[in-house]
Amino acid sequence: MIKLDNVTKIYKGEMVALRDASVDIDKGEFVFLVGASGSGKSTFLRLLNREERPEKGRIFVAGKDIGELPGYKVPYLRRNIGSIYQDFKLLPSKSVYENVAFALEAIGRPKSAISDAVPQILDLVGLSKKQSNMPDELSGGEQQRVSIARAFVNRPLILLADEPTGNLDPATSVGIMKLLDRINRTGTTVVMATHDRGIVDTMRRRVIELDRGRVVRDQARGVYE
Amino acid sequence: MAVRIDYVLKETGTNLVRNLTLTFAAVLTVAVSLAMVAASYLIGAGINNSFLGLRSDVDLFVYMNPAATADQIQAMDKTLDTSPQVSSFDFYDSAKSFDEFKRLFRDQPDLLNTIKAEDLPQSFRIKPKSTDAEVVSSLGDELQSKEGVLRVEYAAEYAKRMQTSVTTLNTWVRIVAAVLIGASVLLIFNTIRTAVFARRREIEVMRLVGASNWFIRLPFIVEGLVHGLMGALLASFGAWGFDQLWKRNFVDQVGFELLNQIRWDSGELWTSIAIVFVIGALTGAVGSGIAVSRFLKV
Repeated sequence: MIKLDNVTKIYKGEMVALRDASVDIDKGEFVFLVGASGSGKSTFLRLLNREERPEKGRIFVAGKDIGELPGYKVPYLRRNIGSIYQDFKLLPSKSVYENVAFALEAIGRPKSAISDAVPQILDLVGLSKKQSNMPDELSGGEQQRVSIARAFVNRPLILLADEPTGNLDPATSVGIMKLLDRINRTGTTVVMATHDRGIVDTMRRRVIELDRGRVVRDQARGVYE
Repeated sequence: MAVRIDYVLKETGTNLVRNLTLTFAAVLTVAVSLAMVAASYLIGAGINNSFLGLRSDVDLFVYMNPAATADQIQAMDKTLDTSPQVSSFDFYDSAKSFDEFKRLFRDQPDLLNTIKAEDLPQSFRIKPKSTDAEVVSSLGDELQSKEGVLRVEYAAEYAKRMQTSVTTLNTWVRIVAAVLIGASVLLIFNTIRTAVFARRREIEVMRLVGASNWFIRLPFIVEGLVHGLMGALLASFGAWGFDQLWKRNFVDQVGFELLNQIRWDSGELWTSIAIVFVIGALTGAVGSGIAVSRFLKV
């Protein structure tokens, strides 16, 4: 599903974010990316949806070399990749329902499809009763659930999560991880960058450790360190 | 992928209202510059329509006294025929002059009804061999001294001078209009840049979920187009007002002999309005297009 082939990413000509990284991730896998701040975890994720492009090496997503994708096709790549972030990136002027619906409007889905899909996904993340609330009326955990609903409402093949529990307390984080686990069980490949030792050690999934841009460990059913 | 029209209109409307002061400034600048374009077009058309243009190949007019005898006219004819200074000439009797008069003042029935053919003096229209002002002037002096001559007019010189001054004025109007159109493009560019900045969160989310480039760009492009077209609409009223003002103050008014020959018809007014809308739309599209391509990473 995802394949990095000797990928090197250099920022501004000097700062090496990723150095000669080769990784193979199968469909339906759940992968933790761990490592210190600045080790290249976020860059790894940003390369997968072509927010960034590598200086060297090739990246395949769903069998396609995304380095060769012309610019106008990048949106179609991103429709197959959901993304969630530490800061949720919700639109403060839109309600829970509207935030999720916006993701479908933006890719031109008809209104009828939107009014079918949004309640369904809000039910999945457990926010049916809060669909009219505004983001600032929700707890951090609830906001992250909205952002997961938005990322998953289009049923992408891949879900990229950049420190999704970074702003949440441990109890809330467990709820978010259960949700991501549930999404993973539907066949969605999940790649999650995290600093959360407890989560990684509890879930015992594949762990890829980065150190100053190098892949230093790739372990099935791994632990944080 | 088709972009939904209601979505584009809603987003454009939100942007226009959100930046009301900037929208206002952009629209007004477009309106002023386009009104100048329209005025300049009408004046240019008016110059072409005026007798100034019609007579530009004739340099001398000899008007005969209404009481001039046939002998005197014949003598003048002979003088011109034999003069080495004259390249060619035409004789306009009253009927021929009246024909021309009817053509030049075709849209002024009041004037046509009051003037009769016999009111118009007979005249010779002369094209001298030399265009040198002094030579033409000495020829004129010589003809003035003949019997039966009412007056000699250096029509082309007078007409050309007037035409030149109006054309020069018109050129300046065009230069100022061009500068203002440049300013309009910059203002629209800036307004769209501000709109893009105000909506950067939405744009970020749209990119993440895979909105197509046109879906993201179109509301901003349409916003720029609306600026241009709203300015064009205001400028059209300006062109209409200019048309009315000119007709009321100059055309057929005593004391404005210089300007009252410059006139245009309603077809030319509509053409100026069409030009205003085309330039307005282009101004908006160029301004917003540059802003979107520079500040909207997709």
